[in-house]
Amino acid sequence: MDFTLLHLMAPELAALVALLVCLGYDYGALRHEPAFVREPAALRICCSGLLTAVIASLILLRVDRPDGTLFDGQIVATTYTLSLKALVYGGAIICLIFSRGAPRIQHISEYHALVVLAAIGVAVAVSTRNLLLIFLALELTALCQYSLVGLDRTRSGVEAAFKYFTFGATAGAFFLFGLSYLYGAVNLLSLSQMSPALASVPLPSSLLTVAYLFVLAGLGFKLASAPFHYWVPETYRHAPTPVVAWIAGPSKLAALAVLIQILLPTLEYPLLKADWIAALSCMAALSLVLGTVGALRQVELKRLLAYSAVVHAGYTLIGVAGGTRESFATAVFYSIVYVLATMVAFGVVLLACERQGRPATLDGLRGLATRSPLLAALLLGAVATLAGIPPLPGFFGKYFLFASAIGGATALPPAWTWLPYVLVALALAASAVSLYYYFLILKAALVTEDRAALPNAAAEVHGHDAFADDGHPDERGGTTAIRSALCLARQDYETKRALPELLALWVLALLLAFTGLLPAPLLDLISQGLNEM
Amino acid sequence: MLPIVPTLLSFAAAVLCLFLPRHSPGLVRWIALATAAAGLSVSLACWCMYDPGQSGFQQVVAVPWVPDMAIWWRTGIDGVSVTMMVLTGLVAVAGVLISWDVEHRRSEFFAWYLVLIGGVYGVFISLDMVLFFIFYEIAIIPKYFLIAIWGGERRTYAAMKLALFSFASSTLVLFSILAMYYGSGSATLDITQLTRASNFSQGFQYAIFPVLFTGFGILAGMWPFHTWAPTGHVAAPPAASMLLAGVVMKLGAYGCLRMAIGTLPAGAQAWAPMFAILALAGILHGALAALAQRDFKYVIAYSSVSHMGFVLLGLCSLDRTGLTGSVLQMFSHGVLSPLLFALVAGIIYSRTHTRDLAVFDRFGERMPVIATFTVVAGLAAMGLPGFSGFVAELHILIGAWRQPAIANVVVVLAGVGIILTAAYTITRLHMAFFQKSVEPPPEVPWPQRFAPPHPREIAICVLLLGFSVWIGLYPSPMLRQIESGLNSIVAHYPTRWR
Repeated sequence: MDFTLLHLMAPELAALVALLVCLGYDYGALRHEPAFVREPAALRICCSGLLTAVIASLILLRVDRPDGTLFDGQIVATTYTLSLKALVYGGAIICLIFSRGAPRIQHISEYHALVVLAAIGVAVAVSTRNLLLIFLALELTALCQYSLVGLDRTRSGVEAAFKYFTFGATAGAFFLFGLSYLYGAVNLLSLSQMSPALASVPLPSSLLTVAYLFVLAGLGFKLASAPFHYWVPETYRHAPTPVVAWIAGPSKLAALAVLIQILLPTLEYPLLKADWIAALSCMAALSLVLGTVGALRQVELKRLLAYSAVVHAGYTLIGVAGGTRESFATAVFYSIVYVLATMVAFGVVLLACERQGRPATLDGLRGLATRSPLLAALLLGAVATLAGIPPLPGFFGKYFLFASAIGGATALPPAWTWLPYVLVALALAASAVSLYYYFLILKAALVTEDRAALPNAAAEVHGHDAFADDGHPDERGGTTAIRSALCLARQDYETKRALPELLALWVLALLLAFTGLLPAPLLDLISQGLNEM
Repeated sequence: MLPIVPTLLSFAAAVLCLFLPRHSPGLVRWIALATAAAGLSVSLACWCMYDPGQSGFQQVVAVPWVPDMAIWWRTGIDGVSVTMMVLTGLVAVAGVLISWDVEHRRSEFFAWYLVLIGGVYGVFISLDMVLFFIFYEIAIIPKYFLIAIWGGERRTYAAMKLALFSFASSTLVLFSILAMYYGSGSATLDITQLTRASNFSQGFQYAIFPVLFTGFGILAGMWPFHTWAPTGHVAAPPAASMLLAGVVMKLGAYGCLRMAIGTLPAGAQAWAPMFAILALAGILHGALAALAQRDFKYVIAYSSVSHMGFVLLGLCSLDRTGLTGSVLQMFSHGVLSPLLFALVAGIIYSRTHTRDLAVFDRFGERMPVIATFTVVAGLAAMGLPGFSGFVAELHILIGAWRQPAIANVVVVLAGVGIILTAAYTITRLHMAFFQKSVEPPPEVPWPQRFAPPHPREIAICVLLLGFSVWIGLYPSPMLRQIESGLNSIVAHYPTRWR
């Protein structure tokens, strides 16, 4: 073993040190201190560790990396993996910032440590080329996330965690089973040598077909793709919002990166490709249909975003099912954009609804544009990105996906060339329908007036029909002036206190805006990274 | 570079509007007015600088944007787009003037308004299919908010309906763009190149043309997908109605011309007779529906559907004269319908607070100046000689008549549509201004004289009507510009006169 290149693991080491320090300091020196002392301490330690990790990843991008592999090629440090790592650690910081002041009675350091550990798991998963390490890293992340969902120990939280865990454990078993078949077929754990090794397997091989199908099932669960998505709405709804921002955001990148790594070696084998392209196409189509139908009637914001996550998994899988390096690159591009936007969306749900004592429903968003214009603007940006409205990067993400999927049609086995066209038509239809529920969010936040500021608020019963009219602004009265004043005072206080959260949201929004105006650099980076593999 | 200025300026001003200090609410509208006026001046400058003697696009800017996907920032102008830019500038200025008194969330209003304007300008200068689409979509979002927040009755319903129709439209368009990107075989999104050397296979054109034409047609108010237009126009605040009727519907027609007819000639020749029938249905349906309305704004809204039917009929003629007439009709309807919306929904409504024609009681005597403007505008829109509408509709009918693929009866019935237009224009104007009220007015009797028009309101009328009269009396400069712009498109279509 060669440890001379250990600095390539500097980001993970930094995060790990922060994790240990956080736990040790909290259990040791701060053992008897109240929560308001322990929490900022844990937050600062973990955030500085993660920030070091981000910076280390970015520095390593610039450092000369002879062949960039570590531990006999099991860990690779390319521009692609390092950029993903920076993104993931950054996402973990944002998750921790969102968690400030959340009501976690006695699990302060554990909570922070679990988030950092989950981030390490994702980082290892995106940078390893060893099947066993991939499994371990993904399970590490998953175990942290099961615990994070239920850490509040509320009844619904525990129920959600249990549901998540049951599904997740089954999916993990499927995944491992698939990997074991893969190992059985090629006698290799290293993905870097997989491509030549596959040549020795006589095709068609039912062993490999089963292996890839099981791998897809296991990873489909983690990507929240149908028909493995039944955990998504419940878990998103009942888990703490910062945790959801993490699970829906950066942790998805791990599953996608792993999926792509496992599929890359098979690209030269059309017979193998045909199997997983068929399976992925079914998953994509199902996700698009079930996610869209599910989202249409949702009132709870987090459930709505959960179903939209299912739809987005469908889009992403279209790219993966395209079956070329270009289409893989567009899937990663789309996922990164989606991760940024979904974190902003959950952040706004947190700040605009939950922190202000409002329900996280469409109703709770009412009057956001007048209450806090900044949050409304952020929500507009995030939702428009998710909906794929130009010039935000969501549009480019979708356009690239569709274009590369159709462009890859010629590379598909002759019997499958029609498939991308059907998938793209379905995805276009889904995105047209999705605008309805995205506009429900925007309507609530930007168009409707705050019901608290309207007279006889209690008497009015409103359905969530986008076509329903709302009281005209002229009809507003000042009967509940005191109540509104109190409400405003509280919002003012909350807004001032939420400065770090707002800062985090703005960083995400700026990244989105930049990617929207200049999508080429990010796409180039990803394509290059995938071509290096 | 010059043609890009109005777009960028509008977007910049929109952002500026949002960040202005709240204690100077009046400043926002001055910024909006200045931006709109600057956009109009730049457009007029482009119009003057455009040389109709040269063929092809001028002032072209081409910068690679996403080279891997062949997406370029490619803009330029020809005679058609520069005409549309001038139109956008005119309507933008008039729209700011009519919304001078918007109080409710004023800075947001003007921000959305300017984003819409910027998107519309962007569509008219785009020469790359994806760039075109991006601006096309940018123009959709503000429409929703302008109607849903500042609209009148049933505004949320109308806004959502309009948004969903628009998104259905853009879905079809995006699908066609993707198909054309791969179908052309040259992996380019450059509209000029695709127009110059349209090498799509015959079968491809037959399949994609109807998708693309319908996609853009939805926004152009093509029957039977026009239903968003009346509800949307009526629920919208005056400025948004003006923009919708004046320029947003033109986006659809412009897309039909630039992308569908320009790049898919074989498909166009195969499908034009069918779409001509839909256009005719729109002409007749719009005119008959307008004849049955008693809400003054609905009359204008349905007349828009009817007039856009003429635009589409002109496009379907695939003939130099017909296409020229079609673009001219876009311009003519683009100045006259905003004028009518400004008068009916803004200037008259702000005095009467009703648009129900049945309670209008000899308003010609009570608001003589406004009534004069409205009658003149109505007659101009009807196609009275001396105004732009006449020149345009004449060209369209001649063009359609010459096209052997379009049945004579279609053109004859379109002529009947003109008679119906005259019928609803004259009866509605009569009801509004010269007739005793059919029903008693609500509560208080009408005043002897309504407040005289504000100079701002007169400015709107003079600006828009002036251009209509100018085109009506001396159309040749604009016709020359338009014809030069159409050269590259017309080259695909052999002149086969009947």
